[in-house]
Amino acid sequence: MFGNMKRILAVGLVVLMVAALVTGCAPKPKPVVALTLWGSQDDQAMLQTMANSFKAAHTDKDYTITLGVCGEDVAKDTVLKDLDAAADVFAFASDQIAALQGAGALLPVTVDTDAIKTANSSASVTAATVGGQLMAYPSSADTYFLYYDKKYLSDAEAGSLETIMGKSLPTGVTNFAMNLSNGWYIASFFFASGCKLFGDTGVDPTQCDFNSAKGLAAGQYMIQLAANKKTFADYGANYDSTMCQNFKDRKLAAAVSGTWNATKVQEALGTDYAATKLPTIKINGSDVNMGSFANFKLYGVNSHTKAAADAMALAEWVTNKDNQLLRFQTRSFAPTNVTIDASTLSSNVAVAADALQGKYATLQASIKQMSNYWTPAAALGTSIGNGKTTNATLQKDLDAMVKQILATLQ
Amino acid sequence: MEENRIRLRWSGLRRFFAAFVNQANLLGHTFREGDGRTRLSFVLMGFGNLVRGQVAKGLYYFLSEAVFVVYMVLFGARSLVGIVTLGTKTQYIEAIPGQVPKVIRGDNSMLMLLYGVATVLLVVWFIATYFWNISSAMQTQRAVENGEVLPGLRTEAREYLDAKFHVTLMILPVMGLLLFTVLPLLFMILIAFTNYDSSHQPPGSLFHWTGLYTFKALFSNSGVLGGTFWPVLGWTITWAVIATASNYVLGMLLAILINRKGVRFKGLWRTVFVMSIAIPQFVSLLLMRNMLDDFGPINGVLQHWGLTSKFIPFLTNATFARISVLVVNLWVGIPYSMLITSGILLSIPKELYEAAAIDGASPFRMWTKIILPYVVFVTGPYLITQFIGNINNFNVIYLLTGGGPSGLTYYQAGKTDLLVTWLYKLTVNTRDYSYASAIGICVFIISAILSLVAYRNTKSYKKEETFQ
Repeated sequence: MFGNMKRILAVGLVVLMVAALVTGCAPKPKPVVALTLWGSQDDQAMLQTMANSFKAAHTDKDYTITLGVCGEDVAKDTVLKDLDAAADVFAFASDQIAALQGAGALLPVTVDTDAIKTANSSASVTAATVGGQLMAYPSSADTYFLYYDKKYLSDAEAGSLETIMGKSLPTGVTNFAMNLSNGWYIASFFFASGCKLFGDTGVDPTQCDFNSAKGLAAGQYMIQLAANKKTFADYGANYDSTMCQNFKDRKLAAAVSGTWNATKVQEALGTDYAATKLPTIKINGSDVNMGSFANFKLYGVNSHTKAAADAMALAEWVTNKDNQLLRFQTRSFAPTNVTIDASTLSSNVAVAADALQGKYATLQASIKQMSNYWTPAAALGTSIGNGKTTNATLQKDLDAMVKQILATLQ
Repeated sequence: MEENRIRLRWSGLRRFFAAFVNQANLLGHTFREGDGRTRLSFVLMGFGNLVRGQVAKGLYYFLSEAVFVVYMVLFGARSLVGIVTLGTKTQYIEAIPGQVPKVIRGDNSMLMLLYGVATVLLVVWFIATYFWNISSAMQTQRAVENGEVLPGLRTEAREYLDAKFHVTLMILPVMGLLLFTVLPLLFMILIAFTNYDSSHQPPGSLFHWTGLYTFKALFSNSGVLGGTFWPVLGWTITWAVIATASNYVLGMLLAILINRKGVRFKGLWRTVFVMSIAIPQFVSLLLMRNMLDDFGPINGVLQHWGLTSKFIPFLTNATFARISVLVVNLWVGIPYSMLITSGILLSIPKELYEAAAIDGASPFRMWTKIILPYVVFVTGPYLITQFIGNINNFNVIYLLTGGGPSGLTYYQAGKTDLLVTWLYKLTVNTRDYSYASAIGICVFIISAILSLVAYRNTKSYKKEETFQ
């Protein structure tokens, strides 16, 4: 049976070949498509694997895929310089989506939209959506959580910031570190106390209640936290490297950071390495979990691409389930694809912690006003960190911050 | 002398306008006195030269006209309309579920403004060529009437290597200047009069002319931008004055100290202090930034020795940060002013000091009466350059504090931000190009006025001839 099939196939091929020779016409050449794909420096090897598998899976066309280096954090600046010179497919951080969409740089995701929406977490889909239209392909999730040293803290103790701070540790060991001079992190306290950045919908550019009574409670919590110089450290501008070094020297019990430091912290702590969601804090008399900002890495298709259908296929390919799994395995990024087996993810401590914290995370708004948030929030955090903002001036400073966040130029 | 200068300035202006009037007159009387061939040059450029035997010149004028007309028809006319409208059609993306979206390309205000400026420059060049063509036609007519031999191509070409050699030499640099400096400069100045900010980014949304709106927003007392502009300007001026003066005076004192009689190993000392120049500026600055960090080595040492109980916010508290940048700037700047004053000090005749010493002058008196007049006389222009350089001292501020600590009441700026570093943030972080451009214009005007006024009042300018 099988042998027969083979024989028939062989005869058929010979006939085809002869026919081609006799009629003198060669088989129609495959259409040639050139695509450019931009990602961060660290992603290049992984993206090359994805590009190769894309070519292997799409043999109907002759694809040449050129990789380029452009980090997700600066994608907006590089892409918007000249859309015609930018890559067909590029990776970017979800907080840039409003600016990219506003400048007309993104091609809407109109093919396989429903499949993408159901396969990826709803938060990531919201982050990739502007004005009801899916504008980009979700790829991985980023938030921050708690790393801790099991030598100093038990799993139960790591659940509450009051317990972490109250634990008596050997001299020279800091209980808890967190970067207060950065808006991304300090939002944690405001979200915990129930504040909303940009209203209930999260996209209203005229709303921010960080200066309400709840905001005041969050601010007061930060002030008393920053005042504990012996048990709390900020590490300021060089937060990441100082934190890793202190973990390595075993002079730090717990710190707030994200998956990008996973390998370094794991190396530093060895078998005592542990990570979990952020702890609870006692605010307004009740224990609430610290919130966090969720950011997503997305892939977008350039609206000025010469091969829209192919670029969309490539963007969908690099963010599909298999490639999200590959990204998780090679780069420790938390996938947004919900169909990936949870047990696979829990093998990576940091990614599991990231997923746990995901429940308490607030999405970075996909509106332009979001870019106004960082500078005043950093100003407040710095001012609290160095003790300039006290309980007496807190309300005034919160008002000033909210005024700047909501400021419009026209 | 002052009168002379004013007269000179007026005559300059007068000459400028006279040139305009002359050109207009030229048209009139060429048309009256010109014969048919000359008159035809009004329409067919180069005709007068061509028929009278100056083929190369005639062809040049004719080709200029042809190229210009073709360009205007194909492209230029549209560009001139474009610079007025700055685009009417926004890019439109048709998103139908299940289909690949269709992108209907629209106008791009930014490119339209750029091409418009280029076309305007081309029109200016064409008008100039047009007048040359007419005056050339008249000249050839006169020459033929007077029976003179017309200079051929070779004669004229030789002239451009001889009497008019400066024109030949200048042509390339001037072209480069127009293309790479004047054109982008005009383009960027014009952006200040549009609303090219973060919410008007082509091709997704177009920007338009808004007149003086940007400047009004910047200068307003109450607005978001005004609330940042005035304090940042205040700090910029304060910084420039203190940074310039401190570097200058301390550098001079150091030079005097080394130059004193009885100080041994003068060369060694000078070398030691000049060493910091050998280290690239950005390296020293980044190093200082790390050292002054809240958790950096300096704070670590201070706390370790028990001098302070908690860290000193060298770069994170507004007042501390401002003092820190001023002090670190000394490290970067003193060697230069020391070197310059050392050279001048060596040129002061020793007899002056000896005479002063015999008269019983104190060292301070010698400083104010001998050294200072000498040094200030020579370094007046240097001082002005330093001051203007400090107004625009991007490196020190950006690398040391990045403008930080961020200001709670500022729009996208920090407490140590100068106008230039704020401009940089508006350009790179928030893409508010129109405001950045307006700030750039303000900085230019401030620098230009200050340097002109200061330079004209220096002794080096007033008594140029008296220095021996």
